[in-house]
Amino acid sequence: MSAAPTRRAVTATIVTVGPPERTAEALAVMQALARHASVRNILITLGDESQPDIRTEGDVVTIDGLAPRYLNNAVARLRLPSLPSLAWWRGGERHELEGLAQLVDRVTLDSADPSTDWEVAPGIATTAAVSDLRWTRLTRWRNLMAQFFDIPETRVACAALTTLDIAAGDPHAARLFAGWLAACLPAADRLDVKTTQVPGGATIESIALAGGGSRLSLRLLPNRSCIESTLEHAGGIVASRVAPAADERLEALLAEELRIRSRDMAFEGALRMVNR
Amino acid sequence: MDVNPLRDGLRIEPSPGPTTIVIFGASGDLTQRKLLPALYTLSTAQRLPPRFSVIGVARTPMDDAGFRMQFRKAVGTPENSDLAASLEQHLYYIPGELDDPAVYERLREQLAAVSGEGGVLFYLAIPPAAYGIVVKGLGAAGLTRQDGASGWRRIIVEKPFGTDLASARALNGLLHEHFEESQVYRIDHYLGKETVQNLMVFRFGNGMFEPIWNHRYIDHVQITAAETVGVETRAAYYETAGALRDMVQNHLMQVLTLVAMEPPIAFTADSVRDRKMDALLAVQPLVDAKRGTSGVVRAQYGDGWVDGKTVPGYRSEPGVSNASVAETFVALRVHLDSWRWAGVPFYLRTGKRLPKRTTEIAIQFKRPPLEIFKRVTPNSVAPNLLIVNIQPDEGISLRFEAKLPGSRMQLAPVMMNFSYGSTFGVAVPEAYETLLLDAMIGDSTLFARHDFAETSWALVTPVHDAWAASGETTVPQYEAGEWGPAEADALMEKDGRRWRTL
Repeated sequence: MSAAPTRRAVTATIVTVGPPERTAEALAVMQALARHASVRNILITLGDESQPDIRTEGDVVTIDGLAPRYLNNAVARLRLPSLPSLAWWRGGERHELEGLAQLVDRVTLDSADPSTDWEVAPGIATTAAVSDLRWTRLTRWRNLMAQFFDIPETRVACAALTTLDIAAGDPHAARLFAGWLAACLPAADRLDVKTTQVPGGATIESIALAGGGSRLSLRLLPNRSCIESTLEHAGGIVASRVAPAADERLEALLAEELRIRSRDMAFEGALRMVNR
Repeated sequence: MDVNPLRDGLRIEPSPGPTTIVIFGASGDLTQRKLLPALYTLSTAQRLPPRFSVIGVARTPMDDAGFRMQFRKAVGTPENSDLAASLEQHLYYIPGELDDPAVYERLREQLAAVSGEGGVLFYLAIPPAAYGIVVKGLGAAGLTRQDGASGWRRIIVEKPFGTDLASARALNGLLHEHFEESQVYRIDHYLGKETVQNLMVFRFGNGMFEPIWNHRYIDHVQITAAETVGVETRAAYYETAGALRDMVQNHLMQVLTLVAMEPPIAFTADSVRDRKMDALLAVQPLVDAKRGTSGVVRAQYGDGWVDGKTVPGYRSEPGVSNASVAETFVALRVHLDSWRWAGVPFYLRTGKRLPKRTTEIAIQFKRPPLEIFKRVTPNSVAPNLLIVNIQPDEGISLRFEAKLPGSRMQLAPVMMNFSYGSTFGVAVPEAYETLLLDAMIGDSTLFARHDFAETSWALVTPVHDAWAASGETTVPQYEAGEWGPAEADALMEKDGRRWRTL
């Protein structure tokens, strides 16, 4: 005899919005996420229905074919005022995103082409915290790059760093990473950024920041589960090790987003540099 | 540039600067079961610095390859074998007797080779009798001297921190000859548990509980740390320690002070530890001239059943004297002489071979002042209960009364549960991961200060003295698999209360 599952303390509502081709995979992601995190899920596929089909499967409420003009109405009805709400934005019109941002605490952008989203983001960041799943995929790369700067020699050599080479399967993610470095490092305007697109490659394949006899390099290993980080000064290796790469499954990325409850100023700074 | 310009806004919390951990007792059980797996897990979360090494020191003849093999055994089949292989390359081993100055000379050379100007964390995973030898050895070799902010030196001391008040004072004195107090990290793994830390958040991060956290609303507090295991292979230690030294002086006193402390003015190591110390100082002596040790019950497990198997009694365990009076169970009634807790007893119990493994704090609130439902409900209204589960299912539950649906007015208790394991979608870190990282970062909030250790011993030592003076050759028995002896029940029944059945 199996015991009935214990209802858990609920921590957030996730509202997923997007066109059909982008929400089809989201249902499985929501269900996987619900197994690990105690969240309410609302999955809205945009269409042209004023009275769309509404289904409940497990912890997920699904609304198929909702006409965009009713989006705000639906979200306002289904969100709980006492729980933080996160919008996982998988694409749509600019004004829909702007309207949604008025109703949630956090927007995580995830459109196939982020150009419009990134233009809108600075404006909506004043009402809702904004992030992007591309940014979430960079968490571990950023952390490893930052760890180089925990070593005093790197901070001393910082001003002499002049070149940044990024090889990436996702050029938008590469731009974000470069934007982040430019926003953080002093004299980053002098940084010569070279981005190489790797067709079919991982989000990021390698990053190298170099100059003045120093080279800080990160490289995704062939198994794609580890990143090799190497710090060289004056031709010699100062530190080298292997660190784990991120779990890039969508449910893992969203779980990370759920743990961030404050405004992401680092993302906004990176985006400012990208939009410049 | 003094600060790292890339740290602001990182989602992964800071990792320490360049660090070398030196583990004394590297071939031992603690290293194998806890420390090496914790380091691997920290590496999977990118919490170890790029320049990181471990140097193991122990008597067991072994080389670097042997220590690396031990690491492989400790982590089993790692989820990320490349990561484990990389970490393994930064493990080194120095065999030798801990009282041999040559060992410390080799350690100095190895540190110079791997650590550079980084910090060094010494970990005493050795029997307490050897603490002094190692501390003196490190001091004589000049390895305790700090060199700037990044060249820090810290030492983690495992429990038991002494065996009584005198030995704790002596050990503190010895440590302070070679280390500043700020360099000493006395580990109590209970403090690394997520729920124990969450207790502070629960109390001081919520406005609604603190106003009722006092003698006006709380009837009593029960703290239970129950184990199903027996003495296992620790008979030699346990025969001289017993449950009071092994569990109460450290773990349960730490937990008690977290429940009882006043709000600190900030979440800083000193502020938190000052308030815990205040609470400990408010604990009344466990032995007094009038009542003797009547507020303390000790017992030993006899033959019985645990987990569906017959198990032998304590005195029949390998390595245990058949005339042993070492207690495997202890229950205490503790009073705090403070404004907040006047008249509120804290009941503590811990034991081996109990029916289930569980550690919890149960805060029982007073009943409503007027039982207005007593005419319509046959049973008395159950008191509200706040339960903090420390292990194994970390979380918090609140019990309150609700009306059963229907036309009759019937009351029934219901529980609201918060479970760490299933709420946030992330694994709860092991205590040793938290504490190792804190020591590397230099955050001593979750470590015991010298005055706490001594004051706690000052409470417990008179109990041992009284037991020794009694000359008793037997102690009450309880059947293995039962919740302790009848005397423990009587301790609470005298006060009109009962232990929770867990």
